[in-house]
Amino acid sequence: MPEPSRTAAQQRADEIRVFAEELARLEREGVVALTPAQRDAIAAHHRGLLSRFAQDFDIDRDTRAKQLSLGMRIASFLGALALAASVFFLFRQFWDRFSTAAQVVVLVGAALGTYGATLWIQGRESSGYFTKLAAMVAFACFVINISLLGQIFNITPSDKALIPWAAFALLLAYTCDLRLLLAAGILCIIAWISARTGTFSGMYWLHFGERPENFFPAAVILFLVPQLIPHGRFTGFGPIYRVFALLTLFLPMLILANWGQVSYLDFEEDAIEGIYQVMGFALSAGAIWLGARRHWGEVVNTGSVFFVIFLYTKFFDWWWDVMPKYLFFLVLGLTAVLLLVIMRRLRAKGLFGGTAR
Amino acid sequence: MTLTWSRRHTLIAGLALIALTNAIALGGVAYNRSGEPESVLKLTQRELWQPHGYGLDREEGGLQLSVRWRVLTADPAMAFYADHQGTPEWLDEAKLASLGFDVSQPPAARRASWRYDRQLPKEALVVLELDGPARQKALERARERAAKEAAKGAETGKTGPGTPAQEAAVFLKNEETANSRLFAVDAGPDAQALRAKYSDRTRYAIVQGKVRPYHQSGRGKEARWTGYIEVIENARVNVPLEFRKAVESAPRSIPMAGPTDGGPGFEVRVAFGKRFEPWITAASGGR
Repeated sequence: MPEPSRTAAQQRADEIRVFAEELARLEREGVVALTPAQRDAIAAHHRGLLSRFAQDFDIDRDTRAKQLSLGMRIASFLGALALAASVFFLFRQFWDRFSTAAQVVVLVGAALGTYGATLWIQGRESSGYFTKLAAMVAFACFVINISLLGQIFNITPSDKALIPWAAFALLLAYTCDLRLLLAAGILCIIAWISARTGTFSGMYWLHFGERPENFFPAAVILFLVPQLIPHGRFTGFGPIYRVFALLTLFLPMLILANWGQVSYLDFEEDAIEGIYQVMGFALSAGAIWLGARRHWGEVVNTGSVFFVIFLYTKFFDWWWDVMPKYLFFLVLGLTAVLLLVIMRRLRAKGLFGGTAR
Repeated sequence: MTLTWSRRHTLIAGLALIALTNAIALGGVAYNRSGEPESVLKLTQRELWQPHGYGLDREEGGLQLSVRWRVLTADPAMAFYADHQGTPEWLDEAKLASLGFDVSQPPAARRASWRYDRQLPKEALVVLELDGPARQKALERARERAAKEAAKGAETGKTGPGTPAQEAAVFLKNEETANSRLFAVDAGPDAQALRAKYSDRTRYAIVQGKVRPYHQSGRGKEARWTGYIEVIENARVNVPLEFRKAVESAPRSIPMAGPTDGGPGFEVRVAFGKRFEPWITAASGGR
């Protein structure tokens, strides 16, 4: 696996550019005065680093290149989705022309071939754009492989299929440093853990979504993964785990806070909704606090969004019918202002301070 | 000793994952089809429908036939729907309890009703009966209804198109020549017990399904627990290339009761294996 990753190399290159600009400014303002030897040594070191990064990772050396690179990333993402869809519809349309044996050979061959091609492309391409395209197609081929085997042989659908799909997506994600496939793998894991949790209560696995509490174990496990397994080499992987963990926690909680009848809890509906409303407020506030302490921006943002959603849904329940609409939205606006003031004060007092991790 | 993960390891891990997953899936298929089939039904176009493709489905390659099963229902409002898959007569409280549902609370209690309605479907083995007593009973009911409506029509003079008398006659004709003869007649958790009760393997197939309970009440009706078969697993059977001609050369559906009596266009032998998964072993016909 590459060391460091392309994202880490790009981040270092950006820091070098900012450092060089700031150093020049400090020298102009007379704050520091490096000797020519020191300046040359720093410049030579940075040139060497940038040159190596450019060669190994095809990084963007300046702002203009970075803007272009963003466009390429978007094109690569859309292209990957489109190619995966194309493969899917190709199989659908021409499927009936093959015998059963030929269908199996085509399915297995497509999965193996596209996987090999992905690794081959990755070995020859430093930017990662084409690798992403190939990896998405390989993942789509593997998913189609197992799905269509099920269709050809009338196999009863099973949540066990989610395990190899998750494993394959994660293998590609970690090998090629691809966040898109990490997200795909995480979604498979969420579905599998939630389905298993549902079957413990005796339900048929496909109905796991009808009891939102089934998602909670997956949320806890996903949140712990980047804590227990260092992800330093994979920039952006830790935040993706944490964001998915919080979404897996807060979205079901939001549903339960409004529709208590879908809960496992055997209480009155109002009591169940009350419990989850309190938990929603407490845990989203806790997420904001924890995110600020650990310098996890994504956790702060996700916690803030859900805190506001929980708050606004309560306001809607209480006041939508009884208040004039201008007053209702005025209250919402003033609440947002109040939250801003509170968070600003807390920040100023350093209550969110902590050691960076 | 430290292990370093190389490109070679990645390649091997990925290839092994793909190969192993396919081997497990195909191994399961081989196990399902090994030995004598659990049951073999000779189904016709009456029981197997070719679904119509709409939208994206129009591009779908391959051919799958939908198994058209039905139930005998006690509900008079639903008794004369050819494809009724609602509440079977036999799915009572005792049967629900045997399938693992909690029916201990009296249905009159609101809280109990709420709890009951929240019960999710459970897996169950469902017995499908081909052209047996259930079909005879359905046929008998259709005949009785046709006779009753004809008598009423004769009294009132209303026997033309669109009248109850004519609708009942058409339904009877369809019941005799076109409607499915495949009925879900029982369900249980134990395959051996079901097979002991329904021993004819050419008339009774055991399949996997899901049963969902609900609380039935209404004006003038006694509140009671009941349920319905939510789904029969693998109710769409793939048609391999070698059998497609027989199926595709037949008209897409059997002509309903009318001036010409079409009858089923194809006959397909469907086997059910050790995992109750179906596959087609023979197909013939086509007009």
